[in-house]
Amino acid sequence: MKKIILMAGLLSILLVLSACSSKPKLRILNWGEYINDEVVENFEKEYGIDVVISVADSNELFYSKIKSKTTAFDLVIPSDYMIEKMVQEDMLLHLDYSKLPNYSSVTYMDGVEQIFASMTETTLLATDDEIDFKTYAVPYFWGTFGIIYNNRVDGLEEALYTNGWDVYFEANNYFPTARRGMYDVPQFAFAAAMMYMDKNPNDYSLANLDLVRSVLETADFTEWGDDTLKRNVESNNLDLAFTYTGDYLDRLYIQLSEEKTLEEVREEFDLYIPDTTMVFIDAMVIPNTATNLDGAHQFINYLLKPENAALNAEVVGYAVATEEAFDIIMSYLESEDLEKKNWAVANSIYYNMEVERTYYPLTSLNPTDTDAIGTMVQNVITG
Amino acid sequence: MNKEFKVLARPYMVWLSVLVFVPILAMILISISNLNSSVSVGELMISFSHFKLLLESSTLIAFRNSLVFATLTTLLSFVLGYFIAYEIKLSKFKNKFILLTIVILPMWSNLILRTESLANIMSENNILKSILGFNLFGNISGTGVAVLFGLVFTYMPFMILSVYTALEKIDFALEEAALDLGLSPIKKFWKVVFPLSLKGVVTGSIMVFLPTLAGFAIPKILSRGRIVFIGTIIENKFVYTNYNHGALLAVVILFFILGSILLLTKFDKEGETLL
Repeated sequence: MKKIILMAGLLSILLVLSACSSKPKLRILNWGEYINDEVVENFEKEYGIDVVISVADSNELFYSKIKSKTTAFDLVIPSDYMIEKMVQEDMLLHLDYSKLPNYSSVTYMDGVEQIFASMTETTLLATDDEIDFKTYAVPYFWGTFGIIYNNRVDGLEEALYTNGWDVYFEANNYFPTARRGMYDVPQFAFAAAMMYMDKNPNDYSLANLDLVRSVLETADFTEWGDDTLKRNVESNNLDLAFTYTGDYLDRLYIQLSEEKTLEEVREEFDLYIPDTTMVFIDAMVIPNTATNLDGAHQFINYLLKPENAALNAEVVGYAVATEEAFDIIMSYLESEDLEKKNWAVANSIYYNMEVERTYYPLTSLNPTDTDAIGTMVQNVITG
Repeated sequence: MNKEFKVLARPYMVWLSVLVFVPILAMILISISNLNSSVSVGELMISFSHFKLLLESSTLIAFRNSLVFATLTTLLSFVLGYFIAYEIKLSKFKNKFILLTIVILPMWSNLILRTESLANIMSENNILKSILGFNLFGNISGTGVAVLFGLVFTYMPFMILSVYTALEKIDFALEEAALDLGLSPIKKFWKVVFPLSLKGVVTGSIMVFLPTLAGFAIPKILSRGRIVFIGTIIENKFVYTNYNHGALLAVVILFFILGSILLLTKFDKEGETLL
């Protein structure tokens, strides 16, 4: 018993000692399960910096944690619309590209460039300021939205690839019996309907609100869900659902780990990415509360290196931002390691950069408009 | 009251005022003003502009859904639960505690987990179907029936326990006397036992009615997001940080709850059946 107490005492002393090591600290605010610990360990060894990661589960929390200044974070990884908001409220520092030498040897993927352009455009419309968001942010991961479909339904796949959004929204014309599911986030529903009408999903107006309402009513959704959507298509309880590409990959990897082959899974349920679709990007920014500016730049520079970005992507399942990192993942197509090979195949199908698409990141609407969309969607649901 | 007890009661009184009364006052203030994260206290103004939300068709339908489902759930729980409670009371089984434990057994697992599983076996293709070969529930997932089933399944134990407590308190001598004076067992039940157990029924009804009225998780999961309760709208308003609207609807719900409590005190002055 005494020995145990002694051991416990020693352990706790060790813990305390290691916690107050004299290494400089880098405080990162990140999403949960959104970084490969291996990358962090390698970085710590190489630069002698102690990385402390805090986790938040919404962009709004990121915002309030920086705004309240209780902890001085050196690096934060919020999404597109939140970065727009933070820049507008002067909460971010400009990046010092002289400290990011790896930047010159990478090329952002086409989708990423489109997202940056779109962010500049929406901010210009809303505030008359022309902002180059690259001066504030280096992309971390990005991802598209798509339609998960039930491939057990004959002809559904073909119809989607010929008619795109129409199949999902025009319940009268295509597959009237198909069970359709929509994310119960009002702005997602609004944006999807806008893209179906070939409009910019960020173009909010009362006239568009009315149009969207009638589109959503025609679609006659069987379900308004969240994580339930992907599971229901997988279990043959839903036929079409608009979700994150990552949602599909999540289920795909789980099925693959249960000894199914990629072809078998795709015969049951697959993902279709429309030619015009929503995207999101999470990017590394330095808030003006940062104290370890050098460390933050070193970390960003470290993750710009394609090998590190690819390693980080192994556990996350979203798309890497640079072509060089993507090429590394593609090199696993011939890999002996089945897990790595499947991962590469999935990336080559669902994050294929050869296909030209129009990508729209969602902007943050003002509270009144968000509310009007929310009420409209509730009115559609209640009929 | 004894002085020592007064001191001991103080921590909870502080708790109650800080975490219940102050928030309620804040909620009322937020519901009738323009206060939000971008308006500072200095610019605070009384404003009734959010009240037009109450006339929105989705709000009205959500209120109707909440009231209808809460009432139906209470009625069904009463009809089905009363007789279970009565059976337990009549049972010759020595250890009634075990019977009551069985009644609350479902509560040992997490509410959300239970509801998700229920939603799963109510859907068209599920694990039970692949084992049994047929669909136990039919394909009721997403319908009102599914929601009602889930609500009754979740809240009926509260009714059973309250009614059982009331039934146990009835002096057996009264029942003997009724039989002695020539009442048939059925008449004895209606003339003696049932009226004496009414307090338990009222308490049970309140304990079923209130959580059903304000709840949102069960209807959301079992209706697959298609049947909107007022709780669903309140949740949405707070998630999308429209605190004024959320607070307004919460205050309206508060009035329903206060009404129910008044009803309770009318029937049950000593509060003795309240668990």
